[in-house]
Amino acid sequence: MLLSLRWLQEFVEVAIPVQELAHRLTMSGFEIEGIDEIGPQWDTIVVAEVRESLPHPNADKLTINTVHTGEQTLQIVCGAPNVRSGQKVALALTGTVFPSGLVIKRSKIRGQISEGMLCSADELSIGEPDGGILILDNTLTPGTLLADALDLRDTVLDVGLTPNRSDCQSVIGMAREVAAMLDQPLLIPTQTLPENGPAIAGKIEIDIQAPEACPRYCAGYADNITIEASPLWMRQRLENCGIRSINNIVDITNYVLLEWGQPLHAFDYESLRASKIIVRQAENAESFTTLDNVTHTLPSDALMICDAEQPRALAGIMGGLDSSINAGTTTVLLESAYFNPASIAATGKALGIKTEASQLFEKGIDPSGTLSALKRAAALIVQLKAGSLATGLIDHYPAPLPSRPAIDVCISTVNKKLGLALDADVITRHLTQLYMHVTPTGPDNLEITPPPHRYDVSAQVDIIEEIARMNGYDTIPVTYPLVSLASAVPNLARDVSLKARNLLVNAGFSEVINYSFQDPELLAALRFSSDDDRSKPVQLLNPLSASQSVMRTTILGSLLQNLQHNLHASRCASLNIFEISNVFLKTAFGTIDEKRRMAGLAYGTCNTATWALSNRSVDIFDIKGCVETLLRGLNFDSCRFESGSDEPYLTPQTGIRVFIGDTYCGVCGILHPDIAENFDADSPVHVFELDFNQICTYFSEKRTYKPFSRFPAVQRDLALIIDQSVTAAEVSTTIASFKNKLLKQWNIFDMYQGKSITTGKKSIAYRLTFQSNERTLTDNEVNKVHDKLLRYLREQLGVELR
Amino acid sequence: MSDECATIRAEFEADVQKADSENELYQIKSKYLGRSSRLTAIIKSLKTLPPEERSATGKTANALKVNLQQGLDDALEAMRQVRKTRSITAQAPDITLPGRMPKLGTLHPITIITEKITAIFTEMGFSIVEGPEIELDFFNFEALNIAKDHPARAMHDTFYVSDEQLLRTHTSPVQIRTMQQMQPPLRILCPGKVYRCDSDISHTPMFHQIEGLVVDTHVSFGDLKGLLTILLQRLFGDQTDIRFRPSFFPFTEPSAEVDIQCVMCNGKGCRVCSKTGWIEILGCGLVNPVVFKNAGYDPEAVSGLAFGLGVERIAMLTYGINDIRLLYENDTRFLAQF
Repeated sequence: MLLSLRWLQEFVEVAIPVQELAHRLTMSGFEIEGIDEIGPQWDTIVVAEVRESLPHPNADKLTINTVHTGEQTLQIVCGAPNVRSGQKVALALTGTVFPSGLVIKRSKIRGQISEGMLCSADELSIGEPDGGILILDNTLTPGTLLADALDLRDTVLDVGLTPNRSDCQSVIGMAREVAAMLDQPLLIPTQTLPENGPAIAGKIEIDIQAPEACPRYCAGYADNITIEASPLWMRQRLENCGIRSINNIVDITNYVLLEWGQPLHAFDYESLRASKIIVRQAENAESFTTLDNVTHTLPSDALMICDAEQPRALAGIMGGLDSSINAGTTTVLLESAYFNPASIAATGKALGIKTEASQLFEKGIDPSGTLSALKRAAALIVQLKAGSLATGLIDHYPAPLPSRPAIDVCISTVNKKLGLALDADVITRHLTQLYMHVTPTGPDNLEITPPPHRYDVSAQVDIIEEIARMNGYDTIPVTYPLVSLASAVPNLARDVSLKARNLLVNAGFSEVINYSFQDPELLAALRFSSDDDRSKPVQLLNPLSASQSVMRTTILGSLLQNLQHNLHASRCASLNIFEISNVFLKTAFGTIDEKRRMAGLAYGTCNTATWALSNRSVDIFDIKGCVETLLRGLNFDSCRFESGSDEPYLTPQTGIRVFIGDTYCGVCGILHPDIAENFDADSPVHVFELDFNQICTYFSEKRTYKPFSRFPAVQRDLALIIDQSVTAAEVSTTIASFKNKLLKQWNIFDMYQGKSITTGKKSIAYRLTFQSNERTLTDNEVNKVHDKLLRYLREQLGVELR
Repeated sequence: MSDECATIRAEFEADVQKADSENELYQIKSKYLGRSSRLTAIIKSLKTLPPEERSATGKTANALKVNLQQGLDDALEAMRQVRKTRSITAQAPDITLPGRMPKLGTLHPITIITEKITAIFTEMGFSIVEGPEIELDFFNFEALNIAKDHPARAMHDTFYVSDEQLLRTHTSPVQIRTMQQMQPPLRILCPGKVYRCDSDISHTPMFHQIEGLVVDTHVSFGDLKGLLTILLQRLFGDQTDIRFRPSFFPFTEPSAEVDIQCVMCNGKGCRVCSKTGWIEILGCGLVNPVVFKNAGYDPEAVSGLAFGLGVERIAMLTYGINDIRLLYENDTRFLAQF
């Protein structure tokens, strides 16, 4: 909210510098988000007197003016038609920079020197374009800065109001707080209105048919209205507070709204049938056109302001098109009412309308201020000479709203909660300054009645907050919670995910974090079949854009997007990334399953180009190895791989299913080249995605030491020739089934096919490790086992020795 | 006979002098000390000498043998040293070449900061608790004292997936879920992703929050100040100035916003802190009794403190990141820096 300091000072004396005021307001819960000085923008513009105005010798529409600023006499070329000798005008001196970027320099215009510019009201941002320069009051002294001459200076504070303090959404509301904070009285002048007009009773009849929704309705009447622009001071105040000036009557209602926080409505009285106001709830599917020219079908409980025949305003929300103030308005009816917050909220929501007024009514305004605000508006009509008031105002308030319920406050509780030691006097002083009524009810108890404008205060805890605020949060000493020692609840998923992150980082993968919502196209790109849960993502009802409209069912799409981004942004030669995040799947029962996934992507070269390492491309065995390292690092010695996966996004023949024991827990492989192409990848993209929930289910930190042999190991190489169709896994499994206790390890160290190997065959070479737990092996012993193994493999797989 | 020995010695020394490999030295060894060497012949011939000569000659010959053996060992050792030095010199690498670095990835800055903060609290006995990201309206709003028509709902621009289900706007619902399952005293920390319909230079529609909750019989506002002072001084340094100022959250009362002295300008005032010298860092307060009631705790019997902070903001301040969107672009030129 924008708050004018000068306006504020009409209601409370502020004797401290504005910076200090801002700091103290911030520290009492009204964060000052900005301080704007109004005035310096006009500091190179002065009052000048036109001494002489002559036609320009070389231009019909220009004049050459000799103007005097008190100190110097300057020649100014001007194009406005209304310059006359003897006038006081606003002169922009050389060096002036206008908001439009225009810089005033000494220059020659059609051969004549011009040493400044005579300004129009719109150039000065203090009025509308009117075809001429601004003519100032003739009593002004030349040389006076324009901001001082026109009294334009002000300071505007941008107050960040919290939603609970709508009572401060007005100058007077803030003045109440500032008065309490600075221990100053609140100065609200009493308004006296002229009583020479006809009695208001004969002018309007008020009939409240919905007293619950409209407990209080005040009205005023003025005729002989001249609709015109408001005076400069009023326009400036409104504009400094972010409200556009319209005309004197509308401006008055807005001015009172800003000052009192009470929304007013002005009707064009002539348009009201039978001089009658009826406040009632809408009837069946009534329709109504608001002043923004939108026709609404009203919900049946909408509160309407009607005349004898038809609705004229949507109470507290917006006026009607036909009864609004217009240039021809001569008589106005001013309305100031208190409407039930729930009623306004319900109608606003049903119709989807939110206005400044409706939001205030919804939050709750002060029912005791309804008439005062109307009086203020009436007084302004007189002050602006905008029209003549009828004598008296209508105040229809048959059943005054009860005062707010009293709250019992226990002083020791206050101190215990805050960590302070305040006595009843201090507490009473703080609360009284906030217009709360304090009655002691016992040595440790007070009864507090909040003022009608404090809707936010209804329980002891609200009072505790007010006491803390008034005493100052900085007065509360720092202490530390006294707690009983207790073990934290272990969080396995978190521990495992941190471990997995570190393993992947050590394997060269960088962590990414992507939005949980994504483009449905991204999901479609992965080609899930229509019966796959992943093809039916959870939709957002109100996404920011189509590209963020569905909750992801897999992380892979995001990683592909990251690849595409990096290929475009930096033509990266390689990318190794992973993410551990939740995906969202719709279940058969219509519920949503949140599952955690761990996915990775490897692309491009293995290493950054360096003298010391080979620069080969990543292949399927890198990603497979990475998954195995990860799982073994997480203690899963039982992890294993099976060839083949029907994931639609993988290149056929490259899918590898990943198991922990017998439990399927994910997949790795090479992305289908067609999909890779869609993401602008021109070499194979390797991916994995694992079910993190499964991994957590089976995770165990348990490890058991197995004794190792201290006798020397003997290594022998065994190069075999086998049919190409026999897989490495088959050979290894067969070796495992050989089950000789001296054969400890068999690692594939070479794989070859091509020259010197018969077509249809391949060579696979194992390094075998033989070792006994009891003794040093002799060559002879090793040879025996080695030969036996070879015979076994011949029988089982038909291998030959290479 | 001693002449003969002197000759052998002179020749030996000359040969050793000429040798320039270990191999040659071994040949010299066999020539002068081998079975068919002259010295061996002299020693073999001793027994044929008359006894009066035998002793003197024997002494001379044996002395020569020891002498030659020693000379040879010394020459060999010297030769080995030369060889080592030569080979070291010959093979000296250009050690200014860069080393072979095992490829390492990096953790995302959000993870790093989250871990840093959770570590501070787990040290103090807090449990880390997580909850669903798609939440029920009840847990995200109603239980937290944000009724349907509550003005505070405007502070939370919410993504909905159905009338009752939404993307959580804060991690506070985890606090309610935890209170429904566990009895006080409670010390929990709830990190996680949260969502709001907001996207500009300082907001992303998804971001990360960490919320903390302490419930016990006598938790005070002073305790809240103490706990958060620990956190912020651990994060930003022991000398960091901290201020608490009144604010509003429906689920806490009294509520506060916490500012730290601007880390960019040390409180002198700069662009980052809008010239105020202070940076808003987190929101906190004493748990509103209504929330205890909604979660099934007796508000008369317990009191509590709660706080919530945005991980992105802390990460941006810690690393000097000037645009929040960098955190979600996942550009390797960004990620590689952490």
